[in-house]
Amino acid sequence: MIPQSAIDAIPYAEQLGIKLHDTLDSGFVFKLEPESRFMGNPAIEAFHGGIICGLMDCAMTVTIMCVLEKAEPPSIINQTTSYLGSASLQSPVYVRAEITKPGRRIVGAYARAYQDNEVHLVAKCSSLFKLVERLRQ
Amino acid sequence: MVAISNDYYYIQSSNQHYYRFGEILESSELLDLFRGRSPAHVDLHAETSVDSDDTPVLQLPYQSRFARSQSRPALHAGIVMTAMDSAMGLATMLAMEELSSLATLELRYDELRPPQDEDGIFIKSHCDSIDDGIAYLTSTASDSSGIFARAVARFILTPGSTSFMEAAMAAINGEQS
Repeated sequence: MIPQSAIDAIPYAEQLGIKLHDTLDSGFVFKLEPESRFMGNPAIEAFHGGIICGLMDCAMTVTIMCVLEKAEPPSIINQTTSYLGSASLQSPVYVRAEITKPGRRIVGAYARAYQDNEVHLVAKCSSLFKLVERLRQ
Repeated sequence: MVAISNDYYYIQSSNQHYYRFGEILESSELLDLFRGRSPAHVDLHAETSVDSDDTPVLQLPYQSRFARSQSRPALHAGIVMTAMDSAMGLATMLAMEELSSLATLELRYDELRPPQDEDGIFIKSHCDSIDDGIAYLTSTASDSSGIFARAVARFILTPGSTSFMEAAMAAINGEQS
C-alpha cells in the first residue's frame, strides 16, 4: 500500500491534510501545512497540542499500514506524547514515524514532530497498536 | 484575585466566580469564551458545560470527517485526544489560584476499546492538583456504552503570563487581539 492510499482510507487523516514528504529506510516523513483552524492559543499563534497528537497518531498508523501491508488501520492501544516546544503556525509541521516493534498482533511505533530543524523537536511520542484483520467474507 | 490588562477584568478563583465590569460570569460562560477563542476548539463543534462540582464536560458529536476508517465510522483517537487535551486545559483554568498561561507537557492516552460507531462522546476532566507550577490532570472519554478511554496529563503554568486570558477578555469587549 502506498502512503497516500493509506491516508485516503482514514477520513480524519484526510481532513487534516497530511501529505507524504519523504520516504526513509526506517519509515516515512509526513508534512502538515499550517491552517488557522489548527490554532490552539490565539495569543501565540501556535498549533493546538491535540492536533500534533492526532498528526503523530496518523503518521504512525499510515506507516504501519504501508510497511506491514495492512489494508485496515491498526487500532490504537495507548499513546504517550511529550511536548517539547510550541509549534508555530508560520511553518509546516513534519512528523517522522517509524516502527519499533513489528509484532504479529501488537505493533510498537515512534514519532517525532519538528518544524524548521529536525534537531529541535516540538513533540515526540510512542504508541502501541493492535493489528485489525479484515473479516473474511 | 488578580487584575488583568487595564483593570477592567479580574478573576476570583477561590469561589470560581469571574467578573467583568462588575458582572459575575459563571464558570460555564468563561469556558465558552475560551472555546470560542481557539479555532481548534471551534473546529471540534463541541459543546462545553460545567458539572455541579465545577468539572468541565466537553460533548463532541459524531462527525464523519473525524472517522477512523472508511469501514469503521467511529471517532478517530486523534480527535478524541484533541478533545481530551482541550478539556484538561479548561479544567486547569478553573482550578488555577492565579492567572497563568498554560501548555501541555505530557499526555498519556489509553484506549480501553474503540468508541461505538457513529456515537458522539463526552469528556470529563479533573485537575487533581497544582504543585510548583505543574498541574496534574485526569480525564475520561465516554460514549453511549460507557468509558472507552482514559488520559492523564501534566500542564506547565506560567504565572504572570496571562496572554490567553487577555485575548479572551479582549474578545468580550469587542477588541481585536
